[in-house]
Amino acid sequence: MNIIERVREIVSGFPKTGELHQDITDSSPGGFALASVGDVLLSEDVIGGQLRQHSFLFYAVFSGINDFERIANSGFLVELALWLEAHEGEAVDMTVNGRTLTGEIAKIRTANGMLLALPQDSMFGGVQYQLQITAEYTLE
Amino acid sequence: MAKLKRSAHLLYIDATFGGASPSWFLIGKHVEDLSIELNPNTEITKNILDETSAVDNGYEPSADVDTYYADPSDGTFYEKMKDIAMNRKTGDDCRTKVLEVLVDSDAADASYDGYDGWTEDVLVKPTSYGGAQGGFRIPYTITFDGNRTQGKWDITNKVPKEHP
Repeated sequence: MNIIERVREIVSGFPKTGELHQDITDSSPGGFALASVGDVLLSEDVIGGQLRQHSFLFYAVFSGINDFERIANSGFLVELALWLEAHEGEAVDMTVNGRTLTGEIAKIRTANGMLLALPQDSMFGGVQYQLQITAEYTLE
Repeated sequence: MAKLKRSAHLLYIDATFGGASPSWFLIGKHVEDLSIELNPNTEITKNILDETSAVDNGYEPSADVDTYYADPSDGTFYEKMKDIAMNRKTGDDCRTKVLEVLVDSDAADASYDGYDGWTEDVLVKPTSYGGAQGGFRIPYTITFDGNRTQGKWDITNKVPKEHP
């Protein structure tokens, strides 16, 4: 399972998420999506083992009619951050040119949770939040 | 062959620390910078005629492995490092061998005749244990202790074997 599949699995396993789409979410409350936006090499050890970082954007659509609901929505993002951090150490692998590299998630962090989009017509539609997720992982 | 990658120099340590048949443990996981410091020892002397001469006293090689994350899955090597560090072992308990292999040719070439490799007696001394958040570390110093021999080695999936 590569890093994208593994993080999708971890996010999907969060008890407060529903069906997790890729890149694009429904506009109605209860829509969730994860988008993969980049992968960089952070460092390499002397025997060729790599520490890499993969960046994701997580989208969630909630009802946000009033302050109480929007505070609850922010709480969701905090809980998700803690859920993700609890999954460090999970295995990942990657097959490149027929050669399978294995490793594990070294660190998962979240940042810049923000209200991304308001409903077009009225506040009774869903408000969309975005959360940046970065996963550092090893491969050797 | 282009310039060698850093991973072309493989440094193994005999995890049995004096066992009948060596168990080579590859050093370098999580280590981003590792050099064998040769520490050449030379002296310059000047006689009464103001002529200088250099005296070569050889090398005193050593290597500092600053990032060893204690990992029980490393098996015998982990057990030995734990024992040396926690029980303050000294002397022969810290003696073993290293194997250096330089992967500077292509095993698929018809002219391939094994990679050059060198074994040498060493003293392994943990320098501390603990470290910052992120993992329990046992950094150590390898002091080379002579009896260096050159041979030919094969490497398969980073596992060394003497070339027949």
